[in-house]
Amino acid sequence: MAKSCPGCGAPMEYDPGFDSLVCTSCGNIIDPKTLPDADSFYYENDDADEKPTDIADTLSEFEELTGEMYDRNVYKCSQCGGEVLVSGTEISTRCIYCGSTSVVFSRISKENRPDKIVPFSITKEEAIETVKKNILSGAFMPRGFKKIDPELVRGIYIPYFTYDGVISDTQQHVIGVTEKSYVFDGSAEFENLLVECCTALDDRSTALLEPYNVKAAVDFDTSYLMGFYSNIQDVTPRKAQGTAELKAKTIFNSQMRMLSKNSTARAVSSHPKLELERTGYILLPAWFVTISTKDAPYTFLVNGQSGRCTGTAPWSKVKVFGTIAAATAVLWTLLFTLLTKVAFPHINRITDIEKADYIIIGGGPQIVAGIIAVVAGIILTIAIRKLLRLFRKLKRTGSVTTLIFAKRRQGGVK
Amino acid sequence: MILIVVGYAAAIIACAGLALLFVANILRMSNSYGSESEDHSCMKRFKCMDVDQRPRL
Repeated sequence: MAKSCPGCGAPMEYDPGFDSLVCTSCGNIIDPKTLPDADSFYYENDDADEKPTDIADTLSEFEELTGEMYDRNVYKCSQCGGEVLVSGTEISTRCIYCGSTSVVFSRISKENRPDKIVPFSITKEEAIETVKKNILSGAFMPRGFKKIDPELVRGIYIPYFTYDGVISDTQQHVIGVTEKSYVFDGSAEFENLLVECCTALDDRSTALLEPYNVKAAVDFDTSYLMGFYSNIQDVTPRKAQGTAELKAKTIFNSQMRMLSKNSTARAVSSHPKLELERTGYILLPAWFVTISTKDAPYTFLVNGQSGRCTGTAPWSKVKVFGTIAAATAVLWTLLFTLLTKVAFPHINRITDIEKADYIIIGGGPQIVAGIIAVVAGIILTIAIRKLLRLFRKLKRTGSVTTLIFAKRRQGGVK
Repeated sequence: MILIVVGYAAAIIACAGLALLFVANILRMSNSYGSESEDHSCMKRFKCMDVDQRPRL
């Protein structure tokens, strides 16, 4: 069901720029809070035309051919009557025929209805601009990558739980090799600890979107879903509780570690007491901007409230290796000149290899060679670790899980 | 002689390592955006004391 314009009857969409519903046809702008609450009719009438069509019979042939099971339901668009395919956890999507937003009210019944929602503050154009400015302006980009327009830009509300609670712990910290120890007794309270509760999305990707200002959340209203996609939560309460407890302990321990004022400090004993209680169910906004290349698609995420952007752009192997080779050549020339002209000028006077042994007696080249070898090992280790970390971030941006989450929806909207 | 060769090889590896580090830093700063947030505003009223009863915060 879509929200219709009281003036012309066309579907309305929520526009972050106006913080209001805007008619797609006549441009009428309406504050969603002033619209009559039509949602309640659907919550109270379970027999509304929201029941999915049973498509098991029609799919039986496909199952025999492909061996696949479909987890989608078919609904009828209230605007044009077209069939809308909706996957198991979506609560709002777009009709591929008329483009209007459809909300599946049966999935946000009283029991499963979000308490709050943070509406989009960042428009689609601002999200694309943020990605282009922060990420597509990088170095060593593959040819043509900077000029690519995003093929897919989708605003999606992600479900989160909020938790409140208290934690207390007595920890013993030991400092480096001196084994000097300190015992700390700490406590803290948690308020609106966020836990993402959508199994189709990678937790590590959404963690990079935070922080969100949960205090700016408003009471849930389907008006804010118009023009966007959204999902309901689908994790078990036990798993969500486990994730919340792990997150709370991680935040608390990082603060406790800072007390030692020593980077080599480590906790050798810890007995935390943690009580966390789920206090809310909230939808938070995020833009998914997908850019396809000939190698793989990359999905960049933009926080729909603050505009915080996250993702790693690919790089051209040719440009990177070329730069490394050129830099190596320059550095080697400088080092060679330094060693042969300044440090060991007599090396140039060696014309007979057999006479080279006399310079070894001095011991200088041995020490220098040893130092250089050790330094080379350290530098290579640091460089390889940095590169591996970058590769992991790039892999996360090119994650198929995130791509499927953003792409496997109705409507080919850009 | 072997020492000289080893020395040269180590020097070339050191230069390559420095170049690799330089490129890795550029890639990290320009191509990668967004990291784990250090914002822990969800944690309130953090208190801590060490065993000697000297408050740390």
